[in-house]
Amino acid sequence: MTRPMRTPFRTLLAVVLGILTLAAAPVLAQSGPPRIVIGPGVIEPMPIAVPTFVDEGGAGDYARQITRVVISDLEGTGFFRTIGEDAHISRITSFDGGIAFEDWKAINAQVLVTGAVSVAGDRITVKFRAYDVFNGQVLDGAALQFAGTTQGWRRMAHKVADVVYSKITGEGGYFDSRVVFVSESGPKNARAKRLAVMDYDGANVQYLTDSSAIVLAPRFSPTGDRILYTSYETGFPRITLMDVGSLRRQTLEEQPGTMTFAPRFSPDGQTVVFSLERGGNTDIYALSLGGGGLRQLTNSPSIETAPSFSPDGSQIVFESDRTGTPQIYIMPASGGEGTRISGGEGRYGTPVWSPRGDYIAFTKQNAGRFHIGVMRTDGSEERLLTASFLDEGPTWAPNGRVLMFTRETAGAGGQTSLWSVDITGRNLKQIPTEGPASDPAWSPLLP
Amino acid sequence: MEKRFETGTVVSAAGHLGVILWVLVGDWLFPASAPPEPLVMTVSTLTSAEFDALQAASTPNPAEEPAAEVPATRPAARPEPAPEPAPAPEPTPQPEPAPAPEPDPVPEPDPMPQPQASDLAQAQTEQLIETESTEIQPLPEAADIIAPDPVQPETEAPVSDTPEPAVSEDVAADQVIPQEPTEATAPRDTGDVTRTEANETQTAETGMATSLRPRAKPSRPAPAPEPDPAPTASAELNVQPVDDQATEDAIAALLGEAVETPVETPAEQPATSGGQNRPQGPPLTGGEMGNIASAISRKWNLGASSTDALSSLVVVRVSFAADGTPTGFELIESSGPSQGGINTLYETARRAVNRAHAEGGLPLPPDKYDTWRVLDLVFDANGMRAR
Repeated sequence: MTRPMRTPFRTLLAVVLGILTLAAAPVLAQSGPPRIVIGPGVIEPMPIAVPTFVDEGGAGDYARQITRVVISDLEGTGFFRTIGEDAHISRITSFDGGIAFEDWKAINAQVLVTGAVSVAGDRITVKFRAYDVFNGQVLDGAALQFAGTTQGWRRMAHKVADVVYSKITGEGGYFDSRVVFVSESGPKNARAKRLAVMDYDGANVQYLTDSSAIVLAPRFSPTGDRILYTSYETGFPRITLMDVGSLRRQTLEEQPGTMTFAPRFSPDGQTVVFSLERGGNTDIYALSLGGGGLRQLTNSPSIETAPSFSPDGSQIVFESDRTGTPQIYIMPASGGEGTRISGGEGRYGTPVWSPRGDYIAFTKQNAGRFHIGVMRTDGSEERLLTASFLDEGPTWAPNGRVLMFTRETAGAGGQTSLWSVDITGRNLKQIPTEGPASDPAWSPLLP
Repeated sequence: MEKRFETGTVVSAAGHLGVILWVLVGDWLFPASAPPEPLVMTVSTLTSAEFDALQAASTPNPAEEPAAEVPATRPAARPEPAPEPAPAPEPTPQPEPAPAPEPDPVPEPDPMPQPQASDLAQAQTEQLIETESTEIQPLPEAADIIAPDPVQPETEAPVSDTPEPAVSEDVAADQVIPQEPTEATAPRDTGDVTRTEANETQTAETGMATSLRPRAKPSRPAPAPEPDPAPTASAELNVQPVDDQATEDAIAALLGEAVETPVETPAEQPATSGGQNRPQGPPLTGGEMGNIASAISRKWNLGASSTDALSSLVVVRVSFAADGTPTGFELIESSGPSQGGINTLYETARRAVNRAHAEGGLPLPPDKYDTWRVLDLVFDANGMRAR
């Protein structure tokens, strides 16, 4: 009789002790400083001030133009809002003079970029500092100087902007880069196409081919000194390799009765993967530029195309219609069946692996609309960034944060143009080109 | 119809019969518990002198009464998180068990009931802050898609330039011109948000529908790294070709200078750590903590942050001077996909506190300086990317 009475008592005691322990937990946890949860924060462009760079001798025009390019680069990211010079309270008249930070705080500038330009003969020197206004300090590593020929002033402006951008955002820069694309002219049914390169922002256009043969899908090598593209010079699509410095061209893998297209370099630049059509079937092949011969990577009665290496070179993402509709697959770089990663409705194509390795960009067609989207390399987190009559062929900026692609408008008079968008879907904008343009491919950051 | 009538009659008859039986024999079958006996008191009359003498003799112990009250008030205060059905999660807002820097099981030696009551209020505060700040957050306005903004190619310039990088010291930082704050002449941020094309019909909803609550539990404590692991000016510059050896040498020398010269932050000492950080004064109320959180949140701009930063969390220990000026920052906990992202987020946090102080000040109650002398501020950017 006494024994059963004891057990409930013990149980009760244990429960009471447990409750007391739990009650004491918050008291124990509060032994440090008060902890306050901040947030959510705000997402808005950071206000910055970029007063015209100081002319330190014979550089008046250059100083103004370089300042303008720096502002254009930074504002073009959508991350920054520059405060107009007419709102500045202080004037920067000397690069090494003191900074009245209170004046910049008063106009709500969070970062101040000061610079100076000097010209001696055909040499130009650009130096700059980026200050954290509320801290009163130069951002770590954001005090640099560039020098070169006056012809390269634009690249120096891009380099200044790259440093400022990367110091503030934590992302790599991408302004000092080039884009190869297909420049188009003429009516839609008889378009003349030729290869051209330009700065990432549409400036400095230079043509690499004439319009005697149709050209498609150019791709930069990892070092930016060579370009692969598809040319119809022989009447059939053929992969061609061009040396950017000399403009020398060389047709790769010329097999009679076949078509080769959709080429892309491996990350080490030693191998080219592409599609080869033979007897009505298209598969993916790899060609070693060092003379290692041709290897077939896929073997399927369906169409396999648009291969793109992962940054470490171990895998290839590609497009296949083996299930009836084009979908995205990943296979080892040595070849194989591949694993499907796209799972949504619609048709997926032109996959491109991000240089950071974290995302795959693609074109998607669904419900009569085209989209540019990104997904994780396992197919998760699919995010559509654009929607229009025809968007296709994304290419990654060197920092893996921005995409450029082709957009075509509807109708007989529809025109192609180049657009860019952030991978969050923000900051969609058109890249200014002289005429219609398509098939962009971003270079790596210039040396 | 007939049948139903009969059934009703039978039920009614049975009910009545039962009641009658209960009245007749109920008391006999179920004897009621004995009625409480009336209190019987023997009363005797006393004179007033006898009464005074009796009262003086029965002196009660005053110290025992408040002690008995204390346990009575505690349970009464505990059920207060009424809106949420789970009273157990109450301890979770303060989930810092692992570090165990100072167990100190006797934080409240004084037997006064009032501090205990406000302790409970403080525990509740954590949840209140989340809710309050979420409400305070203004709706992001969907702005028009940014216009193409054509960039005029100023002049044709080939790519054959050879940048010649070098580093110059931040002279100007040492020559700060002391100046009184001037009237602002430029408009403040409007908080415009660029809407995306693919989700333009949903932007407004996704902005606010997403739960932006910060995670309650920050992950493992980080070994307090300093921001910006010097993203290597050398790396930036090494990739640039230079014209001649002399320039290269100059660059190398200057780079060395840049790398070796850390940015001085005299105004920012690391926040003191250890036992000194234990709040000495009366605790901050939920409202006070909410006001501080709101003031900093409004200045916490993540618009220029990397994707990694937007997937990170940092806990920053901030020291304050008595006038509310932030004097020290220390990264005490962090989690995120990369150190670069954590560093960027830490910078945004530091900037937010500095801005909040500079632009209107932080609502720190002056009489509780001993409490807010050091604060641990949790900045969780997870989920902000979806906005």
